[in-house]
Amino acid sequence: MNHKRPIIAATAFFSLILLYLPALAVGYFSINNARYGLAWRGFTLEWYTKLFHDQYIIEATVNSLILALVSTAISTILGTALAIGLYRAPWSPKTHRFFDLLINLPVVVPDIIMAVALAMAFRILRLLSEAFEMGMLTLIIGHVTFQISFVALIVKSRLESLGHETDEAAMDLYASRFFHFRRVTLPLIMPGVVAGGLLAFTLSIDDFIISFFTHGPDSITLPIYIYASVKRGLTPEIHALSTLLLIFTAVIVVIVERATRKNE
Amino acid sequence: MAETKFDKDMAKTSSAEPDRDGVLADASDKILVWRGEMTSFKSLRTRALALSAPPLVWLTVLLAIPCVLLVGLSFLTRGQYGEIVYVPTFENIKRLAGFGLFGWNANFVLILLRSFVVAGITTILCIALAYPLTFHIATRPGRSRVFWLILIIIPFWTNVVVRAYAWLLILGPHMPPARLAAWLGLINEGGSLYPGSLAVYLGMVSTFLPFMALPLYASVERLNWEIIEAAKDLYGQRLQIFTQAILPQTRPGLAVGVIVTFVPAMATFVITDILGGAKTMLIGNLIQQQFAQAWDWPFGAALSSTLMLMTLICLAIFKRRQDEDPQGSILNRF
Amino acid sequence: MLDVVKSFGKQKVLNNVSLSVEPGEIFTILGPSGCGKTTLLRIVAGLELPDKGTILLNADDITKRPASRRPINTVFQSYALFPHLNVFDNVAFGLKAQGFADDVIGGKVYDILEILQMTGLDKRRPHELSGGQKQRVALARALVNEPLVLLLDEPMSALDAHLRTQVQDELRSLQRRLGTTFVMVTHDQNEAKMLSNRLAVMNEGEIVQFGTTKDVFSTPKNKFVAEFLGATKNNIIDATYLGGNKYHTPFCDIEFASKPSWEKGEILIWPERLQVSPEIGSDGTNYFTGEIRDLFYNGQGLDFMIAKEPGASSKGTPLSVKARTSSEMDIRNGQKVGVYFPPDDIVPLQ
Repeated sequence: MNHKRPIIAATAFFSLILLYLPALAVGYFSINNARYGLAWRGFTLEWYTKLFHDQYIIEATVNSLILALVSTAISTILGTALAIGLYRAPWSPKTHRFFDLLINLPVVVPDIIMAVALAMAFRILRLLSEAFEMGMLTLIIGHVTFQISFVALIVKSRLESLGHETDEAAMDLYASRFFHFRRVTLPLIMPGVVAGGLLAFTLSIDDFIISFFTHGPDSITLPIYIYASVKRGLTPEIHALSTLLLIFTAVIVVIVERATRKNE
Repeated sequence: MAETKFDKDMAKTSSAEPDRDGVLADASDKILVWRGEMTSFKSLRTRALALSAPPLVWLTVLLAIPCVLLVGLSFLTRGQYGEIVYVPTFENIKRLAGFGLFGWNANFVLILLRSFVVAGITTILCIALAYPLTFHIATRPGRSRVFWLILIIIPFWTNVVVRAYAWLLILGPHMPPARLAAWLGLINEGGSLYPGSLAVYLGMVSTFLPFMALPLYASVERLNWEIIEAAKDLYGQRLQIFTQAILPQTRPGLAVGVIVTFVPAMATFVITDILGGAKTMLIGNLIQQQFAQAWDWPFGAALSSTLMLMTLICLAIFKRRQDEDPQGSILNRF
Repeated sequence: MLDVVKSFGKQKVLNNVSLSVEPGEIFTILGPSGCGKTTLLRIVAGLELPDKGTILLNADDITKRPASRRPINTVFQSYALFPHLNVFDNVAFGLKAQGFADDVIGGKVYDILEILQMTGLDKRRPHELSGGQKQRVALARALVNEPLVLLLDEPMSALDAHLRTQVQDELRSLQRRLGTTFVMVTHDQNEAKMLSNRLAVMNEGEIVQFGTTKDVFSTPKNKFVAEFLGATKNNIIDATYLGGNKYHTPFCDIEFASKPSWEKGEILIWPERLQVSPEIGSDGTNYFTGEIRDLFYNGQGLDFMIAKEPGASSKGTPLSVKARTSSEMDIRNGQKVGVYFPPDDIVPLQ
């Protein structure tokens, strides 16, 4: 391609601006020394420091982190197991296609449907046990549900890139099933597992819809808190909080992307 | 030496002659060598099932079954205080179709249609922007390309709430865009550009552009430029170059992009909730209303089931067209 | 040690193949792609199951034993090194899997690395190695376990041409040093010639001929084997029975040492077996005069075509046969020479 149409480049940059304008706006207002208004009144970190004194924000942050860590841990294990079970066994082609469909379904189904379904599930489960009152547990369960499929897909693509010759070589070299799994399969899929885990973590931290339908009064997450503020009235502290959230997510995504590219 | 099960199975394997017996030995007991391991189908599958059963059960209990139950719930009634009364009824469906208490009201049907339309327009706008974007990235040298891709990927993962409310800031009363619109006489003095269609579309496109661009890029990356050069020689008009040379080659990526944009856009809730008003209500907002405020679970279930149906229809259309590249999910990037 | 294999493969990949390998030898299975030789190797390794048949190792029936319990190791065509392990860990893999102690493993690994001239590379990762080095790691990884049989799948195919001779020499001396039985699979007849003690030629799932390398190469059984071993069309000559002991060929009448069972068929004479002399005699049995064409130096000696004039083949080109001599011979293009077919070296083909 030797000719570069300026209009293509211009549109591309426009798209980029469109994508980042929101983030930049939030960032700008988070460091502007003004309660409201566009004008620049000087740089300040006041709004950020205020965050650390806000009871509710700290609580929401803690909730979000605990939720993300626990749900990621569970979903990474379950998702990896799912991927291995589905793609490391001689299923018939028909079964294989069925599994493909199943594993892709949670990804394509709109999250509001998932949220409603989960709310429904908990309502029923509540009849069995008090534990299913809307709260941290239901949040965790809800998050794990959409994370599993996601981790499984990432690990699956990693699994598929491993040829069968490596496995045959391991067997030829006297490996037992356990030895082979621990020393060959696991290390080789680990990059996929870690990437899946990190991204599942991001999904959890930034999730709104599912959390919205599965949380209880005592288990507010950051996105829910921010949403409530949008309704109540926005303050610069919220902008600071949002900026931090954006940066946090961006950093994780960049880490995962660079690590994945290095492996290629 | 005692005859082990292995010996018996081996015997089955060796002597299986379908012609003579007419019936093969039970296939699942058949010994095979799979990836270097000598074992039986049954053993391998049992192992696989042991691993995949917990997550499968989880997904079934918490996702598959509730979805089915939702459909069932659509046919139940709402009690006076919001509880579910197990009296089957078509009331909810009728309400959906517009037959409300006060005669026929097209409100809900409108909302359904609007969901389609908004999703459709968003998708088209995203396509319009995604093509130049991906082309631009494809022509960048190595490092620059990676840089651009990471830039596109990051917004994909960030919080929808934040990105939506940010537009509130941008389109606020004292900000340049609103001021400009007021000066042009499009809105009142001191008014803001939200809630409204413009705000909603800005929010939608800025949220969903990565969803469209990433799969499309996967196809654009593999484009055979020679075909495009040849088309440039053959056809004068740019539109023809596009439809004859570019579109066919990028169809797989485009198809995935369309599905991954249209379906979530149709069901979006946050963006329209924050940036839109009564006039831009979509089915997602309606559903949320039933569960959060009106506490009308059966009606909400009916709406959700309808959305599920709409989703399934879109997926079926997509599957029908997906004979070319089985690229499946965006997540193939990893 | 004996491997006796007799198997039917699925879809008749292998059709009643039966082989026996002697301990301490290099045995090659030679054949074109798709003939089933790799499948055969994999069956011996334990990576595939024969539908019927047995594999005996020193009179032990190992047919039902999984690969991980056969004292046989494989060097794969693509080497299949573990990408996440360094050279040391790759080589040590089998020992570790068998449960040897770490200090024992260390000793064995460094020993084999030294034998293969790879000391100092133990910390490298596979992606940092050259093709030749990867092959050595694969060899080391297999041999460190002191297997009874080492299987090699097309060992030279992934190497650059200039490395092949060197690797061939090294493999030969390695095998002699260790005494392990090697079973090799290849489609390269040169490789087979240079390395093996005995070989078997396979085609379409069947063994066409087997024996010592010398026997098979000097007396191929039929046209397929002859051509596969490098004979060109020019040296496969039609022969028809005349009477008595004599057969007619387009070049001259010939008498065999070993008479064929047919009256009309083809014979093979290897280029290096033709006796060529600048002194011209008169045409007679097993003798004709011809003119040298296309003379060139092949690196070790001279290759040339001898055209018999007059005498055209069906394509209108002069009837020629290929000959090969040592470089000491002083001949040039266009020169007239006398060609003798030694009776012992005329090979009748079935």
